[in-house]
Amino acid sequence: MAGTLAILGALRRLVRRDLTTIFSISWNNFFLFIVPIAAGGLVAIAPFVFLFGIVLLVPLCADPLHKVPPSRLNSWPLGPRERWALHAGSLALSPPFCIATLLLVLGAGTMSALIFLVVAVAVQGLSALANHAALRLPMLNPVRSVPQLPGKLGGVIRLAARQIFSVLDFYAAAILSLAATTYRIVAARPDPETFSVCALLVALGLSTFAQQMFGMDSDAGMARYRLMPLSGWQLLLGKDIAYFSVLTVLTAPLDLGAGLTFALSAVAVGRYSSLRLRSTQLRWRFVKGDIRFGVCQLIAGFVLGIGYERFGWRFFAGAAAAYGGSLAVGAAMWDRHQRL
Amino acid sequence: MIDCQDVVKRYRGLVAVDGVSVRVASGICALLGPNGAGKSILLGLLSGLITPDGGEITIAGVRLARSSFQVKQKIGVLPENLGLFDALTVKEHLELVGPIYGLGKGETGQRTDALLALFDLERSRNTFAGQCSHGMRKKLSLAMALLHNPRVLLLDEPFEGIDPTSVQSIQYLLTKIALRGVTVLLTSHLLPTIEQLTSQIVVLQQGRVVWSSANQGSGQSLRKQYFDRVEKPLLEDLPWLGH
Repeated sequence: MAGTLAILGALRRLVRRDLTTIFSISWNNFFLFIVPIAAGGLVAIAPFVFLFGIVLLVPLCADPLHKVPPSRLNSWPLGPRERWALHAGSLALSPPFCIATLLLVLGAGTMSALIFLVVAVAVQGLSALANHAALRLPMLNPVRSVPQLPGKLGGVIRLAARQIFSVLDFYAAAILSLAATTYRIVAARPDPETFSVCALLVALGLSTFAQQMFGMDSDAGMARYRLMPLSGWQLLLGKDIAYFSVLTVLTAPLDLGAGLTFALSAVAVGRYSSLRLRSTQLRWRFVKGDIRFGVCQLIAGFVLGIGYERFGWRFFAGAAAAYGGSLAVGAAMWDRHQRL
Repeated sequence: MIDCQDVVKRYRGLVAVDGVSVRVASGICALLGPNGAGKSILLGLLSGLITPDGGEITIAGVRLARSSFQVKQKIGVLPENLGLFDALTVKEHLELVGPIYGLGKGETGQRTDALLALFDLERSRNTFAGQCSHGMRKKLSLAMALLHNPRVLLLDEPFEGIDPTSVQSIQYLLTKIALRGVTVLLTSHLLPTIEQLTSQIVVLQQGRVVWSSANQGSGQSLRKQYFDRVEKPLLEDLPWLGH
């Protein structure tokens, strides 16, 4: 049993570390945005909390035992009883089980705890099924559907778009966009001003990614970029085109101008952080940003976005000029410091 | 084709490469040495991934410090960390680099098919790099180094972790392209393979060149010369093992 306990002890540490990365949302622009709103009452932030809950459910429901490589687990001399104990212990360590227990302790009722557990198990099952299908039938993997665009930067754009699809920020922004578009289609007399606000919120949802454009590239990826005969501006432009393309799709049904104005300013502000403060970004997590750049992105994005909505294209042009400047400065930074 | 003079690289007070001068006019040259001798750092310096603290590097007639962009167009590199992206499949890696080196779609496709066939990667062409074995990843990285027909190849341990059949294919290919004027500098620990393949050997130890030979010449095997001149293996039993 000592072996099982040792493995469970290691699993507990892994789950704790994992939760730290899952809740790195505290440095995400979405979180920075809702904190001041929460001061006006928790009801005001309920839709955002619900949105985070939905998006975070997938990584939270993953089986902790999957963190141990199967080849390693199967090679350990554990008997059937010890393996059973390991599975039971792993279940007890899983975040959904802990949340359900917490719901029971807090008196939310057995039914709500049970419903939560059933939802968690269903999400875990669906997630495992999707992973299995993606491995067995790679053509079904939606990430693969991003095509290679023509031209020198086609491959860089495809890679950058796939990296955007690997962070939870994209899914939060996509759910917001889908909900607002549905409202636009279904509502009898939709309020036109809502669309601009929703477009800004969608752009806000992806703005933290603009601080970590190279976060998904490991050191190996960075080495490959450095080996490529590409100028700094070409590489940065390739990454930016992917970012703006994704945002164009998400904000086009709402207010493309406002969304892109926010996005241009977010990329301009995030450029320095992207190049100089690169940190490793894990897949299926919210992007962890820097509070200084996050606040600047929010202020610049909303001022220019609302300015575009109220006063027209001059604010869009201002954001585009800021973006152009950031591209020039960023390219010079890349070219100057591209070697270690 | 490859010329480095008095190259120095320091890391936090430690001299990783200490005044190394190597000249490879043509053919295949092997960089040998124990772990931590500075071989991979020297390859990083030659490929422009690492900036030297001193000395001068010239690749294919172009000074690296003056025009790294031009040098990058002429070299093919198998870096130590392989330089792969987990979010791209095997085939997509080659599709990524082809256009960057000015190859058209058709040419990239043809060369991709040929390289995948050569390295036995055809069945894995749609597998994400993150899901490939280490050997497959290394072969993919090597294919990326060859795709654009470079004049100089800088390969960090190209034979380690690769199946024997692929090792044979790579050896044959390197010999052929060296005869056609491509200069190859590689690192390895596989002494018998190096002995068969290379026309020049440079041995590094603690960041310095301790032995350099255009040909081995002495009639002794490379293995014996290496153990005699560089370091002898420690032959020691651990009595607690096997009881």
